[in-house]
Amino acid sequence: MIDKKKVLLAPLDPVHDIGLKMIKRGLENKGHETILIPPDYSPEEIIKSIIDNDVDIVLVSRTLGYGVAEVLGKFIDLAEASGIRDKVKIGIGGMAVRPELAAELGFDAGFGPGTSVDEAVAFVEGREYVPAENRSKKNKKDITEGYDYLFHNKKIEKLLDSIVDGILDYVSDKTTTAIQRAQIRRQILESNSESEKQKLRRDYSKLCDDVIKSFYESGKYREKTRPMTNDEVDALNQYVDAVNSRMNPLYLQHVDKNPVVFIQYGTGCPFMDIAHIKSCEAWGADGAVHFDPSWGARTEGFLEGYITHEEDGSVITYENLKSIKKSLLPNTLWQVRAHRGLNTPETVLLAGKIGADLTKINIAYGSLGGGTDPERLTVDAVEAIKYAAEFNMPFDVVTNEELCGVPAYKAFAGMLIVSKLGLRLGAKPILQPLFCYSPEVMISGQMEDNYVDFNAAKIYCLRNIVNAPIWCGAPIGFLTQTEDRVQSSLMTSLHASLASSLGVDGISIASSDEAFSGGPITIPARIDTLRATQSSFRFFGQSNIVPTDNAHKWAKEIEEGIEAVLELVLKNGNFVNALYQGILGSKEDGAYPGRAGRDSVMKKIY
Amino acid sequence: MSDVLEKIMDAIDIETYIVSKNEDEAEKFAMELMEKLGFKDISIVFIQHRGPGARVRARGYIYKPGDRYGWLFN
Amino acid sequence: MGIAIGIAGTAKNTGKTTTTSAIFNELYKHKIQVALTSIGYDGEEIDNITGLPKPRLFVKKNTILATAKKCLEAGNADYDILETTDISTPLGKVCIVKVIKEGLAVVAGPNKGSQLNYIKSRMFNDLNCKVILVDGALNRLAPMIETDGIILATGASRNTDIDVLVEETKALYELLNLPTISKDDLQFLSDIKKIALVPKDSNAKTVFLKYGSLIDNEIVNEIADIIKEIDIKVIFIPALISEFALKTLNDSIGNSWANKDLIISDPIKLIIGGNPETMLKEVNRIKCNDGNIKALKNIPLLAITVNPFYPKYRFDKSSYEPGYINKENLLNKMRTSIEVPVIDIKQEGPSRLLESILSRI
Repeated sequence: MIDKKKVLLAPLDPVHDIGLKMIKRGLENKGHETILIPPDYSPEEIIKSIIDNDVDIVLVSRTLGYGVAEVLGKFIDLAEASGIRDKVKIGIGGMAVRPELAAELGFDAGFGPGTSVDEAVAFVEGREYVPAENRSKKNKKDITEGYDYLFHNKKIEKLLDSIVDGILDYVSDKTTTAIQRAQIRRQILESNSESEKQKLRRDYSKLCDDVIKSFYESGKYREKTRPMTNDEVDALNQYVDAVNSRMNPLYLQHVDKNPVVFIQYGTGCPFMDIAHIKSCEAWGADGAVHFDPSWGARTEGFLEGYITHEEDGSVITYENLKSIKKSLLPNTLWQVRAHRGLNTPETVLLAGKIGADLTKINIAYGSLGGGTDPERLTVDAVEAIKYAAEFNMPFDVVTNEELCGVPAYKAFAGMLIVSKLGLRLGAKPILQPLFCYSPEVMISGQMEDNYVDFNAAKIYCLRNIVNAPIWCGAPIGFLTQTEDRVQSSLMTSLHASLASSLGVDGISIASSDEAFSGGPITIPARIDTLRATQSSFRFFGQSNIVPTDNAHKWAKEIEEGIEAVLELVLKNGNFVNALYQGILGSKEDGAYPGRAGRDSVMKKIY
Repeated sequence: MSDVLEKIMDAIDIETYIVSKNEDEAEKFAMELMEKLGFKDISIVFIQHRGPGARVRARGYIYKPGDRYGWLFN
Repeated sequence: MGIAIGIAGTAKNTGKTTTTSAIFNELYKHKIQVALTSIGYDGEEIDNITGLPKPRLFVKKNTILATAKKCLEAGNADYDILETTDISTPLGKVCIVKVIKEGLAVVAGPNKGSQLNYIKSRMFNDLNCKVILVDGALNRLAPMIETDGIILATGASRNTDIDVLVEETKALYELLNLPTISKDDLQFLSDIKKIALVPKDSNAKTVFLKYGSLIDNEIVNEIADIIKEIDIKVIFIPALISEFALKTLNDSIGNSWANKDLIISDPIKLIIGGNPETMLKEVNRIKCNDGNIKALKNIPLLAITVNPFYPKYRFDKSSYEPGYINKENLLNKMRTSIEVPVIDIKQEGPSRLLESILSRI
């Protein structure tokens, strides 16, 4: 039981310091008696109040910086000369106060900017102040939790089931080198025998493109990549340990409904990636999305070892991913993308083996906007989804084909097909609609008045169809940002709050360098948008952004569009053909079936 | 510590307002400013000119991905 | 028994550190055991790297210091910690240490009079110190009550107008050197914590007020009312006297001061209460009305050191450059008005300063 104190709160300013009022409330909550005196008292009058009220403690505030040393030194002298100094503890707080200044002037404690109410209460109660552990502990959030994937739109569900049947049937007798490589990689990872591993590596390299083959055969690195040196790897480990020991991450979320916030990294260099991730974690990011280089998606096979790269995107190897995973805080969500390219099964396998939380798979986008052959990606993706299910990694189904010009309803049809496929294979899909100023709306004008309605329409539409988690991407506000960091951060933060208002589960945010293409993204630019998002969450709290009636109208139109597309897919026989034919996004829309891996699908040999 | 620049994680942005007649002139001044400050790898990230002058954010990269970062090794 | 000397600067750059160093060196020469502490610390020059004050004072082997724990890490002198006291400061507990390797030191001592009193008694009684120097500043005078006299460091940094500077210093001198009451006369007052009004009639009871300080109209009015009723010979104010309240008291009782004594604990209680010159004016009003003002204890001003230097601001260059006021003029005017040694320590050295100290041991 702490004995109750009598505390006088005295502003030594012409105006009231809000800090004193907050401390007053904090002290009263703890049962202490407080007296807050008016702001126009002279120091002598304050001294008299101290004597008259027979207080135990005085907290003086001084906000103005000018002449602070003289005013405060004099106040302490007055207190001592009037004989109260030995009976009363005196603390000082204010913008211009530092503990050293308080010491110099003879106060018992000094509270500068950023002081918590608890700190002042601890001083009053005569106990040492121990900063509270940042709330309890930051928890890793499962954004699929609580979703039963119940379809409200039964017609769409039925169409999807039929299409998924077709996909599973289509791939049942097919395989690819990517699938085989993933199987060999798994054996390499699980083998304890070095000689067996060497043999497996030889088998693996036979299934790779020449550039990868020459790495395994003669140790040659692809251009613009190089192995990291031992001292670089050591330095990295030391850096991460040192940084982790002083981490005390901020929270972006202000209320429960605020979505988890992901950042995307992929500078090309694992060191810089990790440095970016650590700073983003410190400033409150909940998750990080791994970006691999675009050439990696067009090359059959993966390298091995710690490898750095001079261009965007970080090379996927077991060692690179492992070192990134090792650097993360325990609560940080980590996603490794496998939504396009010629290595999707192995990517998901590696992610799963290393302990990634999430992956990213979308056949429609990967083949229409990501450059991978539709048939190849379909066969590979089924295998990749199976790994995702095995390793219990939810995957998002991104709809970036919208950025090519594919209308939302077509992109959503593809997303729903892949999601249903995921559910059938026992995985947990996450819907990923874009919050963007897409070519579709630029042409059709849905965003002429505001950026709210059409984005809201997408969410309303998906919620009408199915009870599934939604993670807006990627990044939110795409094509609304300019090179101006204030404008860019504002756009990101407003989209973040729109997402929150619409009750989505996760968002990916850009840096304020999003629209700048002249060089790598910098860490200050990442902190810009994290801070902006935090402020925006703080600003809106539980309140909502109210879209106009257009949102529901457009939601209905998108839903009808999806139904029509799905019917057309079914009518055309199968999903793969639909992709080639442009039913899920045509050349006129801006979508081109990818060519990487064309005609590489093989008949399974039993 | 040999050089404080080694403590910069990636780049230094200089944000300012340049009194100038048009955007081209502002860009020229901004580049000149950055060169004068000794930056080597310079980008104009943002520039917006209106009547009296230009709002500018110029960037000097200290380290780019793949470099040997001073902050990592010291 | 030794002597505790307070060194108070009237502003930054008035040469307090120079004065302290000079006295130190002179005492070292005479092989007199010296100790140093301070009231809080002079945070003027903070080292940006350590966040601690830059060490500026050179201390020799065997010097005794009382300073906060964190300050022992700054500077390059080495210490033997003799005692870690219970006195807390925001820079850690105050330690009493002995210098075992000479070097630069940072001193941040206790900042309450009662704490200084403890340090003093340890230094004198147990550590056999002959001279204790107490580093202070004009806005932290209250604990100086524990010293036996003050050396004032003043100069152009305080004010570049020589006449103003002399007036202020003279007022401080007059106030610090107030007459004291005789030993047996009314010494009982020293135990009284409240304002006391002693009647002329020795059979009548002394009237005590609720407060120890004279700080507002309410207290002034109460005194004035009692004086109307009872013939008072002594008004004793043990604690603070504010300029405003003393002026109001003078306005209120004016010529009733005749044959009355205002007794205060010590002059510091007056100096803290307001501007020294205004205070002196009010003190003189009491005297003009045939009243007396005395102190239970005074803190004599032992010497004044002056520094003609000040940092001069150049508006055209937006920077400071060294400025100087006329030194001869300053010294002459100061010496004619004030009857204590006025020393330009940079030029004259500390020997004359030391005389005024040593004569008191």
